Amino acid sequence: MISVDQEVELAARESYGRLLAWLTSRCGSISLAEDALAEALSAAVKRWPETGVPDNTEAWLLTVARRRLIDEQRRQGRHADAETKLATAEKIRLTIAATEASETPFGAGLPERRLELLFTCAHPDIPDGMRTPLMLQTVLGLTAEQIGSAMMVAPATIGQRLVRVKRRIADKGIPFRIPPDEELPERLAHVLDAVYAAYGVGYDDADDASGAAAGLAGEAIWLAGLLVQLLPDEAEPKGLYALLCLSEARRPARRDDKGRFVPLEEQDTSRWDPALIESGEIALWRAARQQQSGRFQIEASIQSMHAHRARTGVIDWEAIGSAYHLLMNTYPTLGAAIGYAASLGRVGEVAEGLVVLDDLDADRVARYQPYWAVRGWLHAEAGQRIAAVDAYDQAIGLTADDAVREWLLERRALAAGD
Amino acid sequence: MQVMMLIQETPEDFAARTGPAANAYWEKWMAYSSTLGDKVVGGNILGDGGTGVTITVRDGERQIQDGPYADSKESLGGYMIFEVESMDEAIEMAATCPAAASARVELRPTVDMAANA
Repeated sequence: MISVDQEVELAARESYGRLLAWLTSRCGSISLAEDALAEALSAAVKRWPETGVPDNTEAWLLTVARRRLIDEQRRQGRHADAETKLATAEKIRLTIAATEASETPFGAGLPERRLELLFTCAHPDIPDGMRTPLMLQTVLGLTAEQIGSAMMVAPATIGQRLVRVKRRIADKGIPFRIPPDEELPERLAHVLDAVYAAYGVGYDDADDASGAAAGLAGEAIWLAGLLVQLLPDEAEPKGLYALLCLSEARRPARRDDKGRFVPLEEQDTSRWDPALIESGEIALWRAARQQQSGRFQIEASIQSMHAHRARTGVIDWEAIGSAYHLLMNTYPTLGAAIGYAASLGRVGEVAEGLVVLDDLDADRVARYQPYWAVRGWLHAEAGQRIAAVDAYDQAIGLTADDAVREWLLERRALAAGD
Repeated sequence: MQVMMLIQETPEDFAARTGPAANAYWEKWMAYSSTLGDKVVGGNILGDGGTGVTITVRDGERQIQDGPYADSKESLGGYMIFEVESMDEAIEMAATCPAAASARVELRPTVDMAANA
């Protein structure tokens, strides 16, 4: 038996983004739509225990939220003299909203406007670091506490920044629409980046267990799946979806029975989630058939090669190295370069691997844990004890996860020869 | 800006400082400090709560007690002062502190009296 509070939460989880997207498309303001939806949700908490949970919770929430929007329009109308030019524009949109409010959106279900919302959240005029938080808040309805914990920002700070960024959307008149075809690939890349950032905040090397600890893995996979569904003609959403499924499939194997960290190449493949691997492989295969290459498809193919070990028992480091090399040259990221350096080490080209690391910008890698972990390993393989210990020290100091820290301490001890 | 990180540790953490796990304990802390560089402008390691004394004066009446005031399992094990650009930067630095995984750390910006004058 689930309580009314849980019913509200369930309705919110399933409908939040859909309702918010639809309301925003009507009034043109994310903040106004959020306020109206928040009021509808709190009305539900008050009323449903008395009246019972309605059959169509989404329709109920939408009706109440729409009424709030219209009330707000009337209220703003009374203070018209003091309103700014912007608010006048808002009022005009609201008038349109009020007119349209008579159309009922529940014939063939609520019209799908979440894609517009996603593109608005990842608009180039929105600062890089705010795209993911905005998406998490508007499409998934996550709280400032949840977003702040994942993004390593104080909740009050992230709340203020979200308010500012929504004001910026209104001030800049960022349109609520799907970009035209010629802009689509670039704009889509921003959307995908923001979803990917939600999966492994701070660690763009999916080989590392620590990134997934952020706790938003499920949300990110859900968003990637939504993009696959909303943009069937694009291959990259499938690439991202495949990458996330294949990485997530390994979560149960990242710790052994004693809670110790297990690196990817030593994981017990029987602990990998076969259903997630299959979902990933299917998505990757479908993406490949569309013959549009892209960053996430290459990354997913690397993860797929690791997944093959479950059947073949071996890891084809040559092939993984080639894929990282391609990735590094076409879509350069720190993660790609570090992956390439590590795969060089795996095929005995330790010195070459260290050269790849040396070529990276020192400021960018200074606080990047995977860089130091791979560097420590390569130095250890090369028999350079002191350099290995120094690099491992940096990696240990930059690790938040206790199990990974313990594992690195063991590697460090081995490298030091104690 | 300066931010103080108050480092709470568990009784097990305090015990680890001198016991058989001392090497691993200090290695973690040394490794952590080495990633902070010149961002750390002050700090100290404190003896466990039992080594301290709490003093209160109420209506002129003085009370001196052994140990920390609060009888919680965790107690202050040390502090660091960071010189940083923002709280965001301090949070990133605090997130990898070993005590954040075993107990907890708290960040407080210092109050700049000169700026208030």
